[in-house]
Amino acid sequence: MDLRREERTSEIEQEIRHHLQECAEHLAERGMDPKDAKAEAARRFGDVEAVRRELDQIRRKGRLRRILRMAFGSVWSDLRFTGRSYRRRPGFVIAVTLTLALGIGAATSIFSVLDAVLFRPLAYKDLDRWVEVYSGTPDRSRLSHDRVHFQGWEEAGASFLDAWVGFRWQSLVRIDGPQPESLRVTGVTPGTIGRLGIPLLMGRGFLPTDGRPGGTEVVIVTRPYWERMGSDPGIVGQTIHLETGLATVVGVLRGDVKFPDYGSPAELWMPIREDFTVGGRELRSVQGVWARLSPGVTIEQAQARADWASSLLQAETPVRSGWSIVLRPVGRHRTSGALRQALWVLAATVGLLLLIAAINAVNLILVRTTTRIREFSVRRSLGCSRTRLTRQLLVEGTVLGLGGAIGAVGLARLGVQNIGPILPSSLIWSSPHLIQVEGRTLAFSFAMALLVGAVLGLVPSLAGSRMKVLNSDRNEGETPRQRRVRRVLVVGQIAISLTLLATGGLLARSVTNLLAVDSGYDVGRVATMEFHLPASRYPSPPERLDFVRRIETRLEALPGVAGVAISNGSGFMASEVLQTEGGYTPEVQPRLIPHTSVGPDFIETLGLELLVGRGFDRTELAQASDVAIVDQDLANFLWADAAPVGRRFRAGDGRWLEVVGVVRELRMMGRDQSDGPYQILLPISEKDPDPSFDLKIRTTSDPSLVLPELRAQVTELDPWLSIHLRTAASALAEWEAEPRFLLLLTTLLATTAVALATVGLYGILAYTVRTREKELGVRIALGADRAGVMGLVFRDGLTMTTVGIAAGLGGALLASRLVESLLFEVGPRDPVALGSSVVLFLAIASAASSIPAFRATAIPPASTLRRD
Amino acid sequence: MGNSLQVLPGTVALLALGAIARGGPLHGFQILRWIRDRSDGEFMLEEGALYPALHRMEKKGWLVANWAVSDKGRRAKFYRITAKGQRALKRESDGWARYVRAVERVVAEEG
Repeated sequence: MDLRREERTSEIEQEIRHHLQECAEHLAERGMDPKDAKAEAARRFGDVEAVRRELDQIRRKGRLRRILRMAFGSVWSDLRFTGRSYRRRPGFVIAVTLTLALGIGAATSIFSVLDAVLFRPLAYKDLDRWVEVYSGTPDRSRLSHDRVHFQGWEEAGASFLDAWVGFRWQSLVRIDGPQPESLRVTGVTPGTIGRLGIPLLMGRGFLPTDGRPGGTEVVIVTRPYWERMGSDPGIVGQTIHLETGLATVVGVLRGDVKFPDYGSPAELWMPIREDFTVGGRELRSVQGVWARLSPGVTIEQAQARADWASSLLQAETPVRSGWSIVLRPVGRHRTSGALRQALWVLAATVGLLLLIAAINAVNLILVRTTTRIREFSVRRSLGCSRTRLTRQLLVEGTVLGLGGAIGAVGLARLGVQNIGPILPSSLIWSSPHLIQVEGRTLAFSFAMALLVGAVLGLVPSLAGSRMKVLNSDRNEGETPRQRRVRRVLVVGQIAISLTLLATGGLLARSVTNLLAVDSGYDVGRVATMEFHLPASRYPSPPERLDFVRRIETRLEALPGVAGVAISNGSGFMASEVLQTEGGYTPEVQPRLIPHTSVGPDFIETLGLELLVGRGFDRTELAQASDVAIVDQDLANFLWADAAPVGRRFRAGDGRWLEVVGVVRELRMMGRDQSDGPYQILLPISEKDPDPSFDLKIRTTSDPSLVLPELRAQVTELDPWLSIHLRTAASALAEWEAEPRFLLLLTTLLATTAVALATVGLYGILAYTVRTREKELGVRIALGADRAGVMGLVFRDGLTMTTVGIAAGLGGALLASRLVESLLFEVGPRDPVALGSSVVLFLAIASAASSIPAFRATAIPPASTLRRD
Repeated sequence: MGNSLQVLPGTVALLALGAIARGGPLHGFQILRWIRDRSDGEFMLEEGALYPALHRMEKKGWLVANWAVSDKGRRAKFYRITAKGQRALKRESDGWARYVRAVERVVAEEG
């Protein structure tokens, strides 16, 4: 404020002084004595003090309007000026734009994920009346809904819920293409599309008649799949051939529609029929049920009725104790807590990265401002107002920011495209929208650009506000204050990037620990082949078994294959209480228990280590006897130190299972066993095998080499069968996708951050050396040894680095609390992770400091003295 | 200059605006000289009063000012008239003419 006042006063002062000078000179030219002329001029002018006061008042009153006019008056000419000045300095522009593009691009990529998963509102008709219908027990809040209950509720809820929709995610193979194509199918109850107001590009939604059993099969194509098929405008009415039969296309969805928490983006939508089938395949349950509250009914009233209805249903068809129906507003539940936390941690990280990028850009601009002091001073002297200069700087900053944003959108597109395939499926599954760069993402990116641009413009004008009008000749270096600001910024950068690096280190240690865990089987020598035998072509159990045996025989005959084992119906026992025959029921029960039905030679093929007992014998396999093989953890859990073989246990109200063998370890569903620490193997049921099979193929060398041959064998037997074939290692990795994904992202972010901070450190040192050239030259001329000069610069860099690292360690300790729940067998203060990131950073910082330090020693003493 | 006319308050602005409109970019002292030369030294005004008038007109957007170096090598604040200023000049001088005619009519009747 004082400055502006000072400026205003000085302008008034100058104008008055000029008048008095001119007048006195004029009088002197007419022959008046110079002394008298001065007095006469003052007399003619009148009361100088009064005029000065009056002018000051006038100018103060008009400031706001003047500032506004100044601020927006001629932005165009500022733009042209900016263009000219940037054309002269392409290097500077590229450096700043790239830095910003990196920062904003990373932020935009993460925003597009966060927005799709958490923020973007759901676009359904009557959204506030739709509720999600959960059912469950107190310890497990959510279950899928089977046919009996789904249809039971529809009746029971008729008085307070006026519409229902249900979803089920499916996979079906399309067989009229050049090769069978596995399509993702969203099964919906007829009426879903109309009730939720999901827009169609063409055609119609599903009608009630589409849900009657036995009618023609109909499908609706999603937009991305329609486009992939060639965007045929006449697609409605055409038929496609699915593994289960022919289906007529009746419509195309307009947008990218995906239900929250119910599966991956689909290619087709098909009706769930009244007999609970989708595309001829029977459903065991629907995954999501939504209901619409009747007009005027509140969710509390509906919940009270639902409690009553569930007690009635419970009496009719008893489920587990404590089971009830829970209604929640649609969209309330969007992700699991852990995932949401991880996303927020990521968002914060990317925010920090953006901050680093902005700091770097500001530093670059500050350096440029310092060298532009002469330009600014000259312009000020020529009457350019401070507002005008500030506006110029703002325009320059905004242009840079927008340039950065354009680069950022490109990077974000690239990022989201490449991140897409490695996104953990839980994220895609839970997101109610497709994860992509779209309108909201672009808006975010440009908002960031404007924000950053404003900062870039304001910082130098604040830094420059101490510039006096006419002191351009003396001061070409930076002031001590500017130097301090720049130093603090670099230290901040170092602190932030060390925080990221240390967090990355923790995650890396965590993943390394995870990978070091023994999965119990020979991951490197096994391939896994999953397929589902469609009921239309393999209706009876013998046909299914016969087909699988034929595959088994063919595969075993291949060179490079050491053995094949069949498994079938892998899954989890959920919310089952384990108890032993002795009447012991452990108090703390596992949430989920993975179990698999296996054929002969499963233990040998996978390379499991059998501690006691034996594998299943032929009779047990043929009859699907009540026997089980368990892992050591489960044996210890149930019987502690007692010998488990021959003892019996059961899950819930199930059959009693006799333990015939104990394997040391088996972790097929992720080494962290986040889903359940115990494993149960059961003999395969020959009477009624599940149509989903999982063949384990033991190979003599790298299993990825034989994958094509394995596939060819199956195609020869059944060209329409879609199989999911991969190595056991990659199957296992899929279970561990979340920690790996986080590690990858953190590594990327930390690398970017460290690179930016290193550039920042290098930049400030190089600049310091340049501005101190004279001083350093004098020192060298006066006999300072080169090592001393080098040390001077090097120490400077090291001091900043050390302070930054100290602050960064503090940040890392704070950040580690946030990621603590994601860590596997690593403490949040793991000294190895923290220590190694400090060492790594010191090494990089030393390298960055040594280049300007060397350059300082090369300053020729004579030439710098000559420069003055 | 003892018999010079005392300038009425409020007419300073009109005089200055007229001077700038015809004389192009002028600084304060040049404006005064222009007025004095054109009026054959008839007007005498307290020179300091010119500046508040200039600044007010600048604020109204009738004038724009910028600092430049004068023919005598001094840094001076030069005033230029804007389109808005031109319109104002027309309006004000019409008003002045009506005022003068009205005064004349009154005085003639009295006389």
